[in-house]
Amino acid sequence: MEESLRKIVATIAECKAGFPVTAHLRDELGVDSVRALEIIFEIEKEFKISVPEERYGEIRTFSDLVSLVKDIKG
Amino acid sequence: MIRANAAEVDASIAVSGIGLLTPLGDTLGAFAEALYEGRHSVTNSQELAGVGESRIVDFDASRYATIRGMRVYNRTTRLGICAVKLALADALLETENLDANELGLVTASTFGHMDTLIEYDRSLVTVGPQQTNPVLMPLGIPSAPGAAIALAFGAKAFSITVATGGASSTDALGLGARMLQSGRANICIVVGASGYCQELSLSAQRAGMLTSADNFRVLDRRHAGTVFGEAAAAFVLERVSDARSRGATPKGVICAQASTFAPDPAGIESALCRACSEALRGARIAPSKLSLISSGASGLIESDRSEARAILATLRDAAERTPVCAVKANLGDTIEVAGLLQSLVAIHSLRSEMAPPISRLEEPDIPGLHYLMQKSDLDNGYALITSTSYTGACSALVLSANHGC
Amino acid sequence: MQRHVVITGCGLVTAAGNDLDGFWATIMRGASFIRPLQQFACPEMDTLMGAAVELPSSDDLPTTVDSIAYRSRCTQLAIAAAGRAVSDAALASGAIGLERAGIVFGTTLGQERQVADLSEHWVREGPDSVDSGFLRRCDNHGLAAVIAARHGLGGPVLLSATACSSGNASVAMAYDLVSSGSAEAMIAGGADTFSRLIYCGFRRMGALAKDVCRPFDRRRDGVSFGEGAAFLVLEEQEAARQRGARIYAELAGYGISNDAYHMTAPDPNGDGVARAMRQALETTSTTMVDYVSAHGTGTPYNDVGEARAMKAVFGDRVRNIPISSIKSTIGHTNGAAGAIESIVCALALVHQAVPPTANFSEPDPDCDLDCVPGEGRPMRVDTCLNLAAGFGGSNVCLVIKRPQ
Repeated sequence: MEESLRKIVATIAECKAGFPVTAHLRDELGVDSVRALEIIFEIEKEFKISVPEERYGEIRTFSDLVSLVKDIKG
Repeated sequence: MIRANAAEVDASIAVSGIGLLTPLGDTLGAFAEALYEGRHSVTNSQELAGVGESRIVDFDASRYATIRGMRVYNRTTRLGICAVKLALADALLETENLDANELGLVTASTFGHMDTLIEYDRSLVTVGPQQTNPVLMPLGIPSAPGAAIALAFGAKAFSITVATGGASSTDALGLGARMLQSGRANICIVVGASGYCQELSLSAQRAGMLTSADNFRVLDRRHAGTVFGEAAAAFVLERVSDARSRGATPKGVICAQASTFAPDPAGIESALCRACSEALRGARIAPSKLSLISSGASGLIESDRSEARAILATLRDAAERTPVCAVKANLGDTIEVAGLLQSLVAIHSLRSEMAPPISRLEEPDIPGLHYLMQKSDLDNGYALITSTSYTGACSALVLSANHGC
Repeated sequence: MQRHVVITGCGLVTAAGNDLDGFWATIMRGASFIRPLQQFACPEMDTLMGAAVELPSSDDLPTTVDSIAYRSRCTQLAIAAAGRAVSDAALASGAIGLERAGIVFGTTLGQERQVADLSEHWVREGPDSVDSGFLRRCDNHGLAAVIAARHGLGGPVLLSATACSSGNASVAMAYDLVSSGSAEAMIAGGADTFSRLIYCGFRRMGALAKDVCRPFDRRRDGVSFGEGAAFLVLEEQEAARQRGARIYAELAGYGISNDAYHMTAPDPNGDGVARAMRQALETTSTTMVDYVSAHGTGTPYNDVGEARAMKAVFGDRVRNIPISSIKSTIGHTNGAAGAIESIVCALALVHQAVPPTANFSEPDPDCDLDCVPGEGRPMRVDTCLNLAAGFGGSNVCLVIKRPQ
């Protein structure tokens, strides 16, 4: 699952997939607000989940993203 | 730098770089060669029966440019970005070395956002807003292709989209030139791009505007309609004095441009003639000084006739000896890009002192003009570009290849 | 040859009224017309808030333009406003050669509703839903063309698109055409209506206000949209005087820039906005400004970036300059905004008063501007700036002065 998430982020951020798990999405990978929405959109499609808007603020690093998806998927 | 004093206005605007992507080539040399040979890129549509079209095959934007964010842009925007990249290279300019605050952009785009808008809205209705890709929203507005291109090249002086249909790039060239003349930037890129959109072609087919590849002829007695074509083109414009001081040779000079309007098709002839006359007055030359007319005739019967008659009325005594060419015969109607394509054909023809024939023209419909039916020697004088839109916009541009204006 | 350009006619249709006197009185009260919308909805969204225009039946869309009024609402608004402007300027009186008069029309979304209409049919009929008129109906140039045809214009008829600064950009382009002598007179302005694309898109980005927009307020949380249309008539000053035209104001010039920062977010430092403002001041030799009509959309980012730009340009003087946003009253009208706000500046000069920012009660220390809270303020007004900062970064600042 982390591998798929990594691929989604790398495609959208246009960076190599080997970034550290602690990478800060905005400050290190250049993921701005629109790219962030796109990542969420692709994740929702890929994992067939729905990410509530209230939880967007939890996503700062890649590991935050992994935790969030794990949490929602259960 | 802004020149607030009108007396200092520098009138001569150079074309210092040209970039193009067409089904007949992506360099001016290769494209011109195809035109001299009378070749065209019109084939029958795979999707629409009885309809011709001209499409760029195997377009891969990554061969021309690596721009962050390009992956989500539509075909039209990517074509535009690539044309600008080519034009800047041709002008021997690199954006990293330019003062971004002195770089402006004018984008000719009327339908360039349409396929994205259609996709976005259709998705809202079929799967709902939550399942719709959010990245499409800002790309579905008419200014989107221009905004993306300006972002790609860091154009910070201004970014304006001109949407006047088939007159867009002729109008855009006029606007870009005027912005430079009033000192709003030191360099202005003018770009036009037109990528295929299924719904627009379908509508045009149902309106009876389109004809088959075999029946597609421009200015010919047997003209039966037009075909849509894909292309992108970009010019780098700067004041002649600036181009010379950095050691660049202007490829062409924009002398004057004028826009007029006709409320209905019957009025196009006189409105286009007025635009031509005004452009000639602005360039301070008589019609007899024109070496070439690079016309926007597209194969639509009444529109071709209006265009031919307008040119006749403009040229008067000079009509029989002033060569007329029509690049839409080779590429179909690329709508927003047409004026730029007509202009680069004119520039190349003047510089090479050779003009291309009108592809597949055998029996001219409206007599009196010197229609080129084979490639022809040319005096290196001035050229007149004529454009119209389906909605009544008329636009004329005078340019030269060697003379200052 | 640079000639002085003056405003000789104004026409608008907005949620705060469709006649100039009524509109001015209403906005000066500081009311808000951002309300639950009855006639516009989006899939899967609750009742939307917006500021709607009410038109009398005399402004019904001619069926020759489109038999389905809903999808040509933008055209209807534009026809209504342009008609009022042309009438106001007495443009049809014969005193001006209309063959050398034209229009620059600005829009953010243009004929988006034609596409919305297509989608509704496409889900049932697929490609058969694309009719022969679709190409013509969704051609945004048609917006400018329909106005030009109705008023007998023969000069430049242009459609410009720079997102939400389109109204200002159109006025700027028209200014250039008149001041250079390329046209005798120009109509300039813009129109937009409610659109699915912008409501759904902004909602998804979290940029839509939960109830009403609150420009410069600490609690601001996003944009409120309005529909509207507005046009100015611009003429060369001497010609206007000679024909006895009513002169509202001088359009002294403009500044323009582009952020080239992001497709949606404004440059948080406000550099692009500041550059456009400085260029406007320098090219018009303006040193004193009495009022600024801000872009003021009410998003957290826009307002603070704009405030930064104002401080950078005006320095300590900024607190002495009233800077208000009437988007608080009539919503963000996109392509119409620049033109409506130009008319606001012209009326401020006529009435010697400035309008308030509505919905404002808690100052934001990061904005720290005099945004004229409460009601409008009578004061001496000689010079106004009208600032627009478009989605995607296009910034245009107009300078509107008392006529000489």
